[in-house]
Amino acid sequence: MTAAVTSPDAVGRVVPPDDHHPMARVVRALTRTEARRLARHPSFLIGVALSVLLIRTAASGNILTEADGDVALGLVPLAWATLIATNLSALRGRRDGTAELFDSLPSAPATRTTAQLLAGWVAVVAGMIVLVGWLALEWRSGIAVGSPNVAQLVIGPLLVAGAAALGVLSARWLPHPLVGPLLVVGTAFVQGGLSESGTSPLRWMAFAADATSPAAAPGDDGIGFPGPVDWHVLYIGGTILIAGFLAVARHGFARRVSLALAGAVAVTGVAAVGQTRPLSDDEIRHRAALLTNPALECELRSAVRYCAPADFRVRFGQWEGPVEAVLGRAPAAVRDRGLVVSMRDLNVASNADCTPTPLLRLLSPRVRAVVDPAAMWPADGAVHPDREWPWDEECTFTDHGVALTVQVGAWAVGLPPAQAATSSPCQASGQARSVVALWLAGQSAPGGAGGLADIGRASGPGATVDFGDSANQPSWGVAYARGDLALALALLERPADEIGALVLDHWDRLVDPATPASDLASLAGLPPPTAVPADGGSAALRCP
Amino acid sequence: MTTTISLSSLEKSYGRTRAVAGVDFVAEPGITGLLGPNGAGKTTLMRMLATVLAPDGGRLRLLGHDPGQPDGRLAIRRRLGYVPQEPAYHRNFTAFEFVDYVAILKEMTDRKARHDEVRRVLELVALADVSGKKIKSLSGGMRRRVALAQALLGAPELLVLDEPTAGLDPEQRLRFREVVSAVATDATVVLSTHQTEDVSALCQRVVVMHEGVVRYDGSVRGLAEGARGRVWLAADRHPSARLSWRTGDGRHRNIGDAPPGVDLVEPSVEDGYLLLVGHGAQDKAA
Repeated sequence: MTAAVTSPDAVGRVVPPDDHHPMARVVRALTRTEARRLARHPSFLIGVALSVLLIRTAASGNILTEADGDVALGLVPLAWATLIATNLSALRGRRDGTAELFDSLPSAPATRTTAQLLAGWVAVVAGMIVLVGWLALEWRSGIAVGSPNVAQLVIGPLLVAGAAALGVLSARWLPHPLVGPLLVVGTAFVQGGLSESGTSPLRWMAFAADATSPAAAPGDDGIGFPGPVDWHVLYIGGTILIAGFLAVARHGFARRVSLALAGAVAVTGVAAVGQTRPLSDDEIRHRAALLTNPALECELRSAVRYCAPADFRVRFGQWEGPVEAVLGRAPAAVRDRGLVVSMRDLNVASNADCTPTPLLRLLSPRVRAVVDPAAMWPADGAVHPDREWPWDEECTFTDHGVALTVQVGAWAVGLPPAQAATSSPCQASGQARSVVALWLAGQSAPGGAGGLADIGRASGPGATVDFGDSANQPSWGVAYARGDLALALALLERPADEIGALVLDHWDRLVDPATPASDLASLAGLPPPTAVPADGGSAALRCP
Repeated sequence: MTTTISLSSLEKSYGRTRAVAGVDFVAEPGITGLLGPNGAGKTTLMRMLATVLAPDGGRLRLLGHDPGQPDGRLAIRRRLGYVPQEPAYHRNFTAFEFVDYVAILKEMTDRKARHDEVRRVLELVALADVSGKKIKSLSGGMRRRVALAQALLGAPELLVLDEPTAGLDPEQRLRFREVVSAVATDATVVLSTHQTEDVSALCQRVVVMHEGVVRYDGSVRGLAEGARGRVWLAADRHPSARLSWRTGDGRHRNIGDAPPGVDLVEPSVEDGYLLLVGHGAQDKAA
């Protein structure tokens, strides 16, 4: 009845290329347009700014191995902002009533949805730029140590990609402008609950697989084991694909979309199983071995043996100054005893609220069962600094380097430098050597005696020094008496040369466990330290 | 000349309401006006011509294709320009961005060629100077022209314009006529409107719809001719007039069966239209 009309060419006519499958080209062009709009969206720009701010303030640690998870989570504001922006973009047609016009165009609605999903790349790239910027600044600072876990870092941009997909998905299935903000609040609530509870059976759904904390770890074990993170990356990637294909499927479950969706569900399922499966016996033993017998590299400097994991060799130079400062104030014979300064994990780890938690408690029961605490924290007489330098957990106590120098001072005067196994620190209350150790530490700390003074201020009312609400006790081998600390601080106010000479002149007497602190006070012309109550001062806890 | 649009017994109902009740007509390159009062079924018909609404019955072929078939629908849409009755825009886009967005959806993926085409159509509708302004800041008339601009992208062979002149001032309407008449040298344009002046000025052919059916399908002159001998001026409303209104010079223009001896005047397209749709169009006439 009718025949097609082919009109002659018109001025400026742009005839689409003779292409039966132009969808890919349309998607590419549309993605560029949507990406440009996303990059200018106020919500997105605010998200970038908030993430930069959060990473600058939250990821202040210079140990990249540990900070990577926090930094990845620093992109959560960007992810939420991207969710809002993509949701609003995907609702644009509905909001502005362009559906009828667009329905008359050759490109199918799925084309627009696909482009809106893919436009999320701009947010992902922004997140990656923020991460790379952070890494560049850390490396440029010269104090950063360790290598970030790439899988851990990748989680950040993946969260952004997931948020972009979720924004489009919700716009397609629940087309209301309030749904985006509600999703942000909902995910914040759920994720907050997951990260608060390290025992939740759903904790593997947490945003970040923090390999250093089981609170957010997807697997059973967290202490430095990156294994589950890889599965978590795959899991998040799979859920992003599911969200994307479901969004496209809103326009019809075409065969290709259905197959892709099924594939994404399969990948996610495998990853979910992979990150929650129980560890094999071999893996358990391997993890325990990593804790009790970590691979360390050692170096001899001025008769002092420094040991640390390969990534932390930079610490040797950082430790050397304060160690030499302490030893330089002691007789030469002290050095000949052969000091070993060896990095190891503290036996107390912190939670985010600055409450101390025994490290062993962070391990899953199966790993904990095969870890020998005595092998992990042996009474080897060595100085054991933590990975941090200076040691600083940003709670009440500020280190200024004394966490290390107190240990070296204790070693110099014959006290146990570091706490062994899970036993409590011993007591040397009222002993002159205890005061000498603290004086050496205060005099030699790179930050001056401020750390000791802080301890005095923050310490509770007990007989021995504690660290206020500080999460990580520095695992010193000695529980120093408050009176001894007060005397050490008084000595630190006197000229260093004068007290230094006094200490050297009377070294043998002062490091004798039988010499009371009052003798040192007397030698220095100071009043004797306050008498020490006998709380906990049983013979069993007395230092050797 | 070949047929671009062919409708046969086309039907569309919304519940019990038959919006289009067996419409037949064909259209060829040139401008076909579609007149009718509100509720006549014009917009339903236009939406079917724009492939956004499927008919319930009858036969519809556009540009030689069946819009009921996916391949045919795609082929039609690639050669179609459409201005809906309620043209919508992305308010936060600039005029250029919005037309460019539509151009991409029209599969114009070469960036430079597409931008050239966007500039061309914006110039056609005299919006080049404000192409960088956000649509939400443009006047209603300008927004109408944005809608027309996107419809002109790619020089479509079938242009479906549903009340495109609503809200345009006289100058803009003249400009619109200029553009559409130029396009219609190659394309088939279906123009739905309440404005009989636009039909008179532009259309070679007019279809009058009323209550879902075609009441007239023929030349514009023929529509006016249908009223010949039935339009007269008098001092007052005449009892035999179906419609009557006082004109600017104080006399009444009466339409209906003219009594002998009255002062018959040259009928207009509007007179013919009003005679066809009768009281349904009185509001419009008033």
